[in-house]
Amino acid sequence: MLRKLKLFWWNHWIKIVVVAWVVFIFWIPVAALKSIDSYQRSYMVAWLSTMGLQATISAVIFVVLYSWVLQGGLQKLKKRQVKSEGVNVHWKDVIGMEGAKMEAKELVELIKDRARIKKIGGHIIRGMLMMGPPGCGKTYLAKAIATEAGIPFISMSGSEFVEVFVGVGASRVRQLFQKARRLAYADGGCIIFIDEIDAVGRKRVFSAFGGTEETNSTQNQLLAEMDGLKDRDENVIVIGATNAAEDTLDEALLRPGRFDRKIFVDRPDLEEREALFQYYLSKIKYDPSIDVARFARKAVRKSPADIANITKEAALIATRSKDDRVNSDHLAEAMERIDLGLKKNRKVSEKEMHITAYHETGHVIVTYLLHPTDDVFKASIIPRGPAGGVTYSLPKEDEMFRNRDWFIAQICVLIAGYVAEKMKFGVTSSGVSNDFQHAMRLAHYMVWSLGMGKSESLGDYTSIPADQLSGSVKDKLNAETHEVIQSCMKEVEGLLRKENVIFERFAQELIKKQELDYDDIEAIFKEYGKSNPRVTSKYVPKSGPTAG
Amino acid sequence: MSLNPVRPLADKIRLRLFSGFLLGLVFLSGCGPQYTYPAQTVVQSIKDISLKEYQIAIQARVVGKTAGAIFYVEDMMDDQGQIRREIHEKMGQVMQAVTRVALSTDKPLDYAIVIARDRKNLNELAVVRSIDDTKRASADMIGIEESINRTIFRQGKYRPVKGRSNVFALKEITLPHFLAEQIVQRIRFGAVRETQAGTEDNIEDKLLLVDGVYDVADGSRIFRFSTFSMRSETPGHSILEILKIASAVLKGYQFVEYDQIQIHDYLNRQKLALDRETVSHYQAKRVTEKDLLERFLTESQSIQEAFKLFGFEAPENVPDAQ
Repeated sequence: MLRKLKLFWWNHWIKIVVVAWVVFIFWIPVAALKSIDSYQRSYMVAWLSTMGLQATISAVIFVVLYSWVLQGGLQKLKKRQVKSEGVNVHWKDVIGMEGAKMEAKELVELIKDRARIKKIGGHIIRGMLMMGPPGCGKTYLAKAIATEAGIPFISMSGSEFVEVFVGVGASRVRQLFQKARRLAYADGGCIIFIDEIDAVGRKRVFSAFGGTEETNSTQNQLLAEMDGLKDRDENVIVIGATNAAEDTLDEALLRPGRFDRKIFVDRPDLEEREALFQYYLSKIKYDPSIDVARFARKAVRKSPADIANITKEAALIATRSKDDRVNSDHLAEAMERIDLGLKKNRKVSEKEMHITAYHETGHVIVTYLLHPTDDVFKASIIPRGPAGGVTYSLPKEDEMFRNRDWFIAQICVLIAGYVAEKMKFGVTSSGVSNDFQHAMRLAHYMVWSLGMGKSESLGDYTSIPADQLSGSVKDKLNAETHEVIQSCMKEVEGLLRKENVIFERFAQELIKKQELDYDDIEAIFKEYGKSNPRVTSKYVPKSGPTAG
Repeated sequence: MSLNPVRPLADKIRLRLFSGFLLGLVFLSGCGPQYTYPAQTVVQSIKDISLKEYQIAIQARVVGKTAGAIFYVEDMMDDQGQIRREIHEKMGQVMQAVTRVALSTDKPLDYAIVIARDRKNLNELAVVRSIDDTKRASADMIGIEESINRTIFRQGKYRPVKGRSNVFALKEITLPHFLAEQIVQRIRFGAVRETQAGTEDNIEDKLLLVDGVYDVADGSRIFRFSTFSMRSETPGHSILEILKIASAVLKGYQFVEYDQIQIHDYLNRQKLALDRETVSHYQAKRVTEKDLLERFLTESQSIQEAFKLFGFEAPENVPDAQ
């Protein structure tokens, strides 16, 4: 018996001590109250009850307020629920993303044919992840899916799950899915759209000390909810959208069963841009003589949102100009304003103006005569932003790969401003610094990473830590980089000397007119018997302005 | 479906039992004997507490709803003729004992009185307190100053009865008498304060004597306050000040068991008699003081009658004040 008691004590001594302590703590007020007069005891009990009531009321108020603060996002969640008929974006409104649209259409068919899929033993798609650059219409596509599927649509941003309070994110995920399941139960399905899902979908971080980040628990809850380990398998489809690269997202989120489909919503191509211009222009009054194809070409790498913005800006410019419809000039000005910024009314000295004019002329001539893809759309010596002048060139079309010729031509264009200044004035200005930075970076990239140096040293040497590269290798690569720049300079020098007449003519024209457009530039070259080697249509394309 | 860890049933039951036990303890703390001092032990309890806790031997009695205690001292005056400090302290301690018992007994007690008697000089000090006022004070419903104002302090001589010097004769205190005494005390204290403050042009500066009773002799319930004030151009003013105090006290106790308030200013031969309804209107500020004076201020009795009221023998040839 004694042994059993000892064993019991060994096994439960902590519990016994805790219980004894708790009883003792409770006994103190009991004993104290019993020892005082009945009136005082009643008074104390009444006072304690009042205090207890006060504390309870305070606690309730605190809890309500605290919950209100914590649940603030959920209030927004309620407002986020959108009925499909309220969204009212149809397939015909989705322009400039044909590939993504096809995938989305398929998803809608699968949502609608859920019963048929289940009948043949298939599994309904649980999620679709839309990736791509910002402004390419991911949210718009999601709205179209909601409209066409005819089911409720709940839209949230990933950042809405992120709070300073621990557990709030996970709680909001639970609430969101609970709401979605109820809607799905009532309406046959529900779409949850989580914009910027990378806010909660980043690769999870696990601490060596056992702690995890708050977003981990939010994401874990999201994963658990998407797994559908629930009583009923409701038709809830999660559509995520992100600008982040796929490899920044957590692998668990991307596996089949969660986001089964991945759609890359890319920037529109030429045809899609044209369609987008048509679409957005159709929403405003515009001059039908606008060459939409020309603007579509000029809008290389622009997203649908950019194109929408251009047309809106053009409408504003037309309004300010007191015109009753948008014309080509308004559109061109809108594009320039968005791409190049507003013109500055800065007073420029005669000397500075001349330097800038010759500098930009260097860019123009080399781009026109040497560049394999880019055409000059505008040359200007009116200050914009920090730049004294600008040469605005665009490629014919966005290209996936660039060869050595492109890099050499690009470097030539960049250093042409320096060469022009040196040729004309014998000295150069600080205006070349930005050009040199870009040129050096490109030359370095060619030699160190792409094997495009003279000796064609294969390999990406930047992937090796600098301290593991021998001095001789570094010297050799740096020498080759230098050689690329030098050879480009010689080439540009030769070209500008050869075309000195055109060079002078352009510079003077620029000083006279301040700005030359594509047609002006084309006309001058034509005057000297030079034709654009890249022209295939009325208008040509980008790469970004070369600041002078 | 999310899986919650399942607590074994035995654990749940144990937890509930333990929680129940703790709650039981809390509830039990409010139990125990309903009254600490049952009715039949009140007198003895007062004596025991005084003796045990304050080492003061007292006599105690209960008459009606009044509990009283008395203790004797040889000489309560010091060399300067002031009441010694320890007498005040003892009275306070005995009052503590009486009120403690009065508060925690099932015997209905409304007043506590503590008397200290000086055998040498035959002086007597008494403190009277309402038990309800004690409750109000402990619950902070009234402040310290108001609590003191509601306590009656009596002082005077006592006449020992030969052979029965230790007999404690206690008269029951009733609310109207308690209120009448309290009102008079407030008027006197006010007069003393104002005199000490040196305030001029105030009625209390002119107040010579004041007394008051709750009189039911004629079948009517009358609060009668009699004053001797200095001759004044505006005698109604001093009467109004007394009315204000009486009205505030009656209102504070929500006392309405009376028919009339009479205030006599004998030197000025002025009398204000208000029935309860008029006082009620005055308390509710439905009637102005000016109206009261115009409507209810009348000529008072002669000074001879007044002397009689105050227990003096006035010579027959003293002319009435005009």
